[in-house]
Amino acid sequence: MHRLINSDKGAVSIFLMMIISSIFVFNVLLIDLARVRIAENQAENILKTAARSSLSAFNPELLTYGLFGLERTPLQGSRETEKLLQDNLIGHHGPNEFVLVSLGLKDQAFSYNQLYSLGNHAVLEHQILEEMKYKAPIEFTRGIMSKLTEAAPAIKNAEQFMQNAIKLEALIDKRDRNLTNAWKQVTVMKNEVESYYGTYSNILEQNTATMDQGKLVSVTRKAIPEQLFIQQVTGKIQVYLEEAKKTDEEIAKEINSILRERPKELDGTDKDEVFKKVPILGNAYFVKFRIEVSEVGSLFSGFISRLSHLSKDVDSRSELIQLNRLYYDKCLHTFNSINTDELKRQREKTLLESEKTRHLNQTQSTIDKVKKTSRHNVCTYNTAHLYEKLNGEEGLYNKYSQLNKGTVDMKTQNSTDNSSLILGEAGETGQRSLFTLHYLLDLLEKARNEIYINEYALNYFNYKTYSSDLANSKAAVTLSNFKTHALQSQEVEYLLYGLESCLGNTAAAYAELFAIRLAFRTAEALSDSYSLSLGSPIMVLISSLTKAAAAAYQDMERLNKGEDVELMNRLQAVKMNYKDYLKLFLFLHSNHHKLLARMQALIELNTGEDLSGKATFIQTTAAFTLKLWFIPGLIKTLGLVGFLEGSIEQNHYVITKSAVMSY
Amino acid sequence: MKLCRKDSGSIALEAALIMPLFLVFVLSLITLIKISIIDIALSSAVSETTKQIAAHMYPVDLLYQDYEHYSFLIPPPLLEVAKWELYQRNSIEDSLNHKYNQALNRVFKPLLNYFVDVNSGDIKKLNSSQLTIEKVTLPNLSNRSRAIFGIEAKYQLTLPIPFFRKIIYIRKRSLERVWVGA
Repeated sequence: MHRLINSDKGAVSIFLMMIISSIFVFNVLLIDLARVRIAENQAENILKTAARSSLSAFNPELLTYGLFGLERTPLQGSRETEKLLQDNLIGHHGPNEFVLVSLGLKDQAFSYNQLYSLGNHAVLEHQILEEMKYKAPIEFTRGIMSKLTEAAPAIKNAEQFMQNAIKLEALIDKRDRNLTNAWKQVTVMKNEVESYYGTYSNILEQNTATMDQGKLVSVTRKAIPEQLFIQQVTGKIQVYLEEAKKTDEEIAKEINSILRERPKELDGTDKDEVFKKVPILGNAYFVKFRIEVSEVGSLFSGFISRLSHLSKDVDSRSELIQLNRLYYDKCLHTFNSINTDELKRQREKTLLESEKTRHLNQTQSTIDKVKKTSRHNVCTYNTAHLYEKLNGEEGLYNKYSQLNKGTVDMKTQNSTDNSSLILGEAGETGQRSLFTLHYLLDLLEKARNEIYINEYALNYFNYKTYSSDLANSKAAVTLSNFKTHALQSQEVEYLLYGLESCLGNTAAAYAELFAIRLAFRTAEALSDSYSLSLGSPIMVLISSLTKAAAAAYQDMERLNKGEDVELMNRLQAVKMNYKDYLKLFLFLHSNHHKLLARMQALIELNTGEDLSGKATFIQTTAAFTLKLWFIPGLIKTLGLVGFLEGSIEQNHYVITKSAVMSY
Repeated sequence: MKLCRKDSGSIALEAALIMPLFLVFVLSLITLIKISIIDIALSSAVSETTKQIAAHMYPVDLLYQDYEHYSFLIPPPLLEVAKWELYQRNSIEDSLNHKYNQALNRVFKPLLNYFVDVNSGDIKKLNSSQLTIEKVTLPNLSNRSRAIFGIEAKYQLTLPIPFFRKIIYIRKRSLERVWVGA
C-alpha cells in the first residue's frame, strides 16, 4: 500500500482523469446553463408574440376615430392567447432534427387580464395624444396664436380705453347729478325770493305810519322762518356745489393720469384728444357760483334783520325798500347767469343721451338680427332622440362622466365653465366680449396638451361649416367619415357647450362667435374714431360699438358660408374661418373632463361601441418548462437558482414570464 | 514480456487513451456552442420576420379590399407579399407541391434573409444557402378568426466532427396574429 502511494507510476493517468472529470462537470453545467438562457429568451419572445397577437384584435370601428380598443372579451382573449402560445411551441420533431431547447407550457399557470378601458379619460387622452402627435397641424395652432398676438395691442388698447371711458363716465354722471341738484335748489330759492319780494314790496308800499303795531310785529315774526328757509336752501346749494367741485377735480385728475399713462408709441391715432375734450368746469366756475348764491343769502338776511327794526320812520322804510330790491335783483342776476350755463349743459346732455340711445338701439337691433339668424341653421331634422341618448339622465355623457368621477381633480372641477356669452344688453355685450378676448390671449400662452385634444375634436367630429370645408379641402383627412355621423354639422358645437338641443349648441357657438367678432370690430372702430369729437369718451365707445356690430354681422354671414374673414381691416393678411374660431372656443372652454366625456358619448352614439368595455391594456403570465439534460440537482445545489430566474421542479426547469402590453 | 515491464512510452499510451475522450469533450462543447448560436439567430430571425409582416399587414388588408387604390402606399417587398396574398388562392392551390415550396422560398426567403442580416451584426451567423423555408401560414383576411401569419424555417448544419459526416436540422417556427383588427 505504501509502495503504491509513493510510486509515481500512472501519475499522468490520474492527472488526466482529474482534469477530464472536472472538464466534464464544467461542460455539463455549461450546456445546461446555455440551454436555460436560450429557453428564457425564447419564452419571453413567445409570450410577447402572443400578447401582441391578442392586441391585434382591435375594434375596427373605433379605428376610424384613431382609437384602439380590444374587441375581445377576457375569456375569448385568454383562449386565443393560450392557443397561440401552444402553436408557437414546436411539439414534434422531424427526422435528423436537433432540438436544443424544447419548451413546454406548464398547466394551470396561464393567466390573462384585460385592463383600462377606453372609457377611462386618462387612457383616452393618452391615445388621442399619440394619434395627434403625428397628425396635429401644430403649426396651424401656433399660427392662430401669432395671428391673435398681432391683434393683441389693438385689443389691449381698446380694453384700456373702455375701462377709462367707463370710469370717467361714472364721474361725469356724478358731477352732473350734483350740478342738477344745485340748480334745482337755485330755482327753489329764486321762486321763494320772488314771492317774498312781492309780499314785502306790498307791505312796504303801504304807509307804515298808518299800520298798527300788532301787524308790524306779525310781519317781523313771519320773517324769521323765511330767513331760516333761505339759509337752508343756500346751505344745500353749497353742499351740492362742494360735491360737484370735488368730482370735477377728480375728473381732471383722472384725465391727467390717463394721459400720463398712455404710452406714446401706441398707434398713430391720437387717443388723447377724446379725453382732452371732456369738459372740466374748473375751480373758478364753482367759486363764482357759490359767491353769488351766498350773496343772495346774506343780502336777504340783511334785509330781514333790518325789517325787525321796522318803525314808522319814513327813512327806514325807504331804506328797507331799497334793501328789498337789492336782494331780489341779486337773486335774479344769479339765477339768470347760472341759467344760461345750466341750460347749455342740459341741452348738451340731452343731445348726448339721445345720441347714446340711438346708437344703443341700433346696436341692439343688429344683435337682435344676429339672434334671429342664429336660429336658421343646421337644425333641419329631428335630433331630439339623439340628444336624449347623449344628454338624458341615463345618457352616454352621464355614463362616461360617472366612470371618471374619481379622477377629476379639484382644479378642473373648480374651473368655471364660462359657457357661452349670452347676447344681452348692447353695451354689456361689447364690454364682455373685449374682456373675453383678453382672457383668451392669456390662455393661449398656457396651452399644452389641450392643443392636441382640441385638434382631435376638430379632426374627427363635424361642425357647422364642415361640408364647405370639405369641398375646399380645408378639412382634415381622417378615416372618420363625417357624413355617416348621427348628428350632422353640430358635433364640435356639442362638444363645446353640451347643451340638450341642436339649436342650443349651434346658437351658443353663433353667439360666442359674434361676440368675438364684435370685440375685434370694436377695437378696430375705436381706433378709427378716437379723434372724433363726440363730447364724451363713452360716446366714442358706444358709436364704435354700433359700427362694430354692423361689421360683425357682415362677418357672421361670411363665416357661416365657410369663408375666411380677416381679423381686422388693418390686418387683411390675417384671416380665420369658422373652424379656426371653434378652435379658439375649445381653448376658451378648456374643461378637459367634460370635453372627453362628450367625445366618448359621441363616439358611442356614432359607432354603437361601448368604450367602457374596450380594454387597451393586457397582462398575461405563463410558465414554461424545459427538461434539463444533465444534472438538475447540481444546478440546484450549486445555488445557481438565485442566479437564474426560474426554479427547478423534478428534472424540469420552470420559467415564469409575464408580458404587459398596451396600445 | 519485456515490453510490458518497461515503462518508457507509458505517457504516450495514456495520452493515446485519454486524448480522444478529451477531444470529444472539447469538440462537443464547440458544437453545442455553435448550435446554440444558430438556434438563437434562427429563432430571432423567424420571429422578427413574422412580427414585421404581422405588424404591416394593415395596408395589405386594405389592398386586399381595394387593390388598385392603395398599391402605391406599399413598399416593394411587402407589395410582393400583398400580391402573393391576393393571388395565392387561385394560383397555388392547384399547382404542384414543389412549385409551392419554390414559390414560398422565392417570396419569403429574401425577407427572412433581411432579418438574418439585420440581427447578426458583424459576424455572419447563418448561411443563407443552408436556410430553407418549410412552411408559411398565411392569414385569411376574409375570416378574421384565422388571421394568423406564421413562418417555419429550417437550417441545415453539418456537425464539425472529424471522420464523421453528420447533418442535423434545426427548425424554428413563429406564429403571430396579423395587425388587422377583429
